[in-house]
Amino acid sequence: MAAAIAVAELTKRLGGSTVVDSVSLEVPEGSVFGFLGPNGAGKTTTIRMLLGLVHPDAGSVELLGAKGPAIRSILHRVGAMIEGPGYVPYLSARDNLSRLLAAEGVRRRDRAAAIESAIERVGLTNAANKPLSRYSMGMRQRFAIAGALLRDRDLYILDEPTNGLDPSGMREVRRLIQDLAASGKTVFVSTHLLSEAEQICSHVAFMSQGRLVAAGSREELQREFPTEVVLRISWAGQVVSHLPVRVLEVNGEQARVAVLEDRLPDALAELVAAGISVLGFENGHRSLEEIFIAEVGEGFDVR
Amino acid sequence: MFADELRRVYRRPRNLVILLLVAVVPVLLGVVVKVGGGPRHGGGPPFFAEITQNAVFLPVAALASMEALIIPLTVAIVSGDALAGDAANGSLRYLLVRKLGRVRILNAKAISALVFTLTIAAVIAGVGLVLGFVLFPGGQLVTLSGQAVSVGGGILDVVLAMLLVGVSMFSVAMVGIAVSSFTSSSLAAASIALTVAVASEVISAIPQLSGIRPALLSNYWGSYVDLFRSPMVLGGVFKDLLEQAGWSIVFYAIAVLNFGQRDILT
Repeated sequence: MAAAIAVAELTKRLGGSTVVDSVSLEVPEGSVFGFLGPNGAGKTTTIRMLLGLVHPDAGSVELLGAKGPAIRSILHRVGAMIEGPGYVPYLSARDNLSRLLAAEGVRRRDRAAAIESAIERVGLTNAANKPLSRYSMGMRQRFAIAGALLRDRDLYILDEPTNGLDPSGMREVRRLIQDLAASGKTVFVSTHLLSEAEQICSHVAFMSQGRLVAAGSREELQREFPTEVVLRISWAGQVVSHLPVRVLEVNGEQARVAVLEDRLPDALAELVAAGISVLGFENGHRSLEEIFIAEVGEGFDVR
Repeated sequence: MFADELRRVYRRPRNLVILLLVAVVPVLLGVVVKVGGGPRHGGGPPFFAEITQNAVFLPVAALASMEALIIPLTVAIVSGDALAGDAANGSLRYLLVRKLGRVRILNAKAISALVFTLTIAAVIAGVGLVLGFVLFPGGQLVTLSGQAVSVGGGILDVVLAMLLVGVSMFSVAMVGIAVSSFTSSSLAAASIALTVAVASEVISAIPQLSGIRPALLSNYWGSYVDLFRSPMVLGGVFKDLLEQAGWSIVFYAIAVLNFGQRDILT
């Protein structure tokens, strides 16, 4: 499959620190690609480099087959949402969207249809003539999504599209992304919400402190991070510490422990030998959250 | 893009307040002179003494009294906001990820700022002219050279003076555009543009620095006075136009060079 986005050794230094550190990435055409990482991981700066807002210190970007200055000539095939909504607060949603079309060189008389359909798709028809300054945060987010959807695109780059939305708004956005994917579009979506990525993404990449720590299709990541089986066992203190299990949580007289699938027979034998009862099994799929914590670690340290 | 940028500028509440405030000045001036009588001949800024003599002198006196500070201030505010305002709103990045490209967006913003600059001069002159005809006698006027000119000729002179005062501010507007391309603070951009204009006027008042006077962007700001001689003396006018063109090109080039390659982080 051809790559909608291909990034090689992308590096950006800002104010003395390396915000994006030789990131290489391929986003296959037709994928829903989750770009994951905590706040401050370098996701937004990477997205700004994809779109030519920020110039890389090193490395290259290829967007829909175009490189360097040629990227401008394919920007009309890209719908983007970058770090939340941006708008002229005293102009209406219609006028703000009209400006965006103007910046694409669309003539005034050709704009109305695109504006109406984008406004309708995000449910802002009734508020379309109100100035944006009177919108709620969720409505502003919807406006930003409308901006990305203005015309039919081949690639959508969406930075934190569900920020500020209520749960039903989040679900609408997820459905929208799935609809786009179903019609063969590529969606590159950055988020720090792993559960969201879990639901919609066919591929994911993890960023941490400017570096790409893992990337691939969901199946590839499952292979890379081998399946564990989760057991519920009776808990008799630290007698399990020498056994090939990883304690996930202790709950009174019971505990949940994880065992690598290929070590399961040994582990079971040793548990029984140690007088521990196995009370039940659980689904052993590693969630994105577990993979993420394994790769990135916990904590909120921002460099 | 140009039409949409004009809409951004002319719908901005702050800019409408600016137009309203500059319209107040000729009204104030006309009423005060009507009620209190004009200064004796030779007193006050150019054309103050003539206000009571003919309708066309009120708009010119208003332009004259505002050219040194109020017009540059308003021009600096509007032009300093051109790029910085969009940068602060976060709307700049959304314009730049589209096909048009940075230079064409900059051009739309620069031309809009120049159009608004002319609008400021037009509002002052327009309000002044209408009120002039309400408060003071119309009819033939006597030029500075002592010759009589018809009403139509007088109005034409006012329009030319208005255009010239407006164009004289183009350099200030382009300073505003250039500074605006560096920052997301319209206030900072406006302050710097105004400072440049005032500094130019201050330097021109220092005799020891008279050698660099011809290069100062404000040096020929008074040249509209020559339009009211007959025949018109156009040497100063042409020098002013040249001065404005020169500085506008310099600051436009700075804006293009900076904005064309700058990282957009807002």
